[in-house]
Amino acid sequence: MEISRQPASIKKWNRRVHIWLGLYMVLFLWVFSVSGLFMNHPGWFNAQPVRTSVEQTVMMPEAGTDLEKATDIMDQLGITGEVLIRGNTPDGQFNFTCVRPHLRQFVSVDLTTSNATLQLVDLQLIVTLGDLHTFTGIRGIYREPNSIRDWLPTRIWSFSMDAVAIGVILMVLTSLYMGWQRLKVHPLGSMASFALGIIVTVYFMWGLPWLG
Amino acid sequence: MVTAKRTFNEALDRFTRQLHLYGGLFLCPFLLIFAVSTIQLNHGWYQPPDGTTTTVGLPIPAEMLVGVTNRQVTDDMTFEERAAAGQPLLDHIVEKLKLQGEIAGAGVVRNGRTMLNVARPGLVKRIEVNVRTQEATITELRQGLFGTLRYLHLNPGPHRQPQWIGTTAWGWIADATVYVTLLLTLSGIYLWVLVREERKAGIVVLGAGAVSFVAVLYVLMIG
Repeated sequence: MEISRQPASIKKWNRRVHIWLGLYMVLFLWVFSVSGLFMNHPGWFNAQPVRTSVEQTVMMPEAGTDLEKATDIMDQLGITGEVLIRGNTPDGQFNFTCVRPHLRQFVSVDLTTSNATLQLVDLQLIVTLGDLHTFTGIRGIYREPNSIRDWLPTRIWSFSMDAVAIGVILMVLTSLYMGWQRLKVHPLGSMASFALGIIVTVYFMWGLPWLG
Repeated sequence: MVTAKRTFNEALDRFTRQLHLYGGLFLCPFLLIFAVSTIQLNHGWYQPPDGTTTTVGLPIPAEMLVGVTNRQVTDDMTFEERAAAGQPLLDHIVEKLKLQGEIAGAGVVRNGRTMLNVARPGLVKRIEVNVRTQEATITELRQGLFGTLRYLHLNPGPHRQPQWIGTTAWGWIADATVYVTLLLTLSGIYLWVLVREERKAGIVVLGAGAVSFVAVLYVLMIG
């Protein structure tokens, strides 16, 4: 009795986990899917960013790391975001970039006059979607010598990416279990669709490198 | 009339269920590729590739070098003009060395050398051609399993148009992954609505997902 009840319970919970994970992640999946599609087709849209520039006098902090100085200046300018410090600032200036998924904020402080120039690049929806797809805070393309996630929302978004990826892996495992359960009902279709996916994957993963 | 409607609904349910099952099973390996590489990219995990270097002879006809070796001429060219001038030399190198993959390089000679990169899933070849000694030094960088996953996640990508059929074909698969994922989510919602016992809990979970999604977007974009 105990043995016959066990698989039914696993089956039920497997389906429940599959449904719950799918429902919880559906909006995240739509954003990552659609943004991935748009990134593969940059020619579909011609989204031009809107650029504006403002100047303001700031108090340049004397002590602290570059990140601490940048954070202090951001407070004075009233801006927030992930700080990027590329380490190639010209003499007499302190430059950094503050990024958010829909906004680039380029800050340049003239150390002689304490005058800060803030250039704002407001990205369009399509570019913002692409930015959400890649907004990890530690991208190689940022060319930061010491890349860290210094903004709490970046850490939260980065955690969301991990969570969605792990959720997708669990969705795959639960769907494989369900597929296994349905094998007696739909043997041909289940095996054919799974085998097709595997064959295509093997071709691109291991077939292409051995072409010559 | 009622019977016809019921029959239609049953057929629609059955069709959606099979579509969800078959589409999901087909997509499993691609979803794994994108999910595992997402975690890698999110943490900047990168394993240096294994490299091997070989040098081979590469005869180059003199007329091919006329337009690309004179720096005074090539420095005044636009990017497009330089690429056009270097194309015959590039084609010659690719043909003689039997290279296949996504090619990056302008074919312009500097200090008697020209360089190009040829990439495909799992393998990057860096080729440095010395036009004076007529030799090509080929460095093969094998990317391993995780490097291959990373490559597939990042390509074709927004920064370059695919030139190689392999990248173009993978682009179709990546697009198909998106379309099938959208189809699976919609059919999944439809199938969930049919399961009476999961409706209440599902609404709570769907709501929790929507709230967390909106909250994260709010702090990223507005807060």
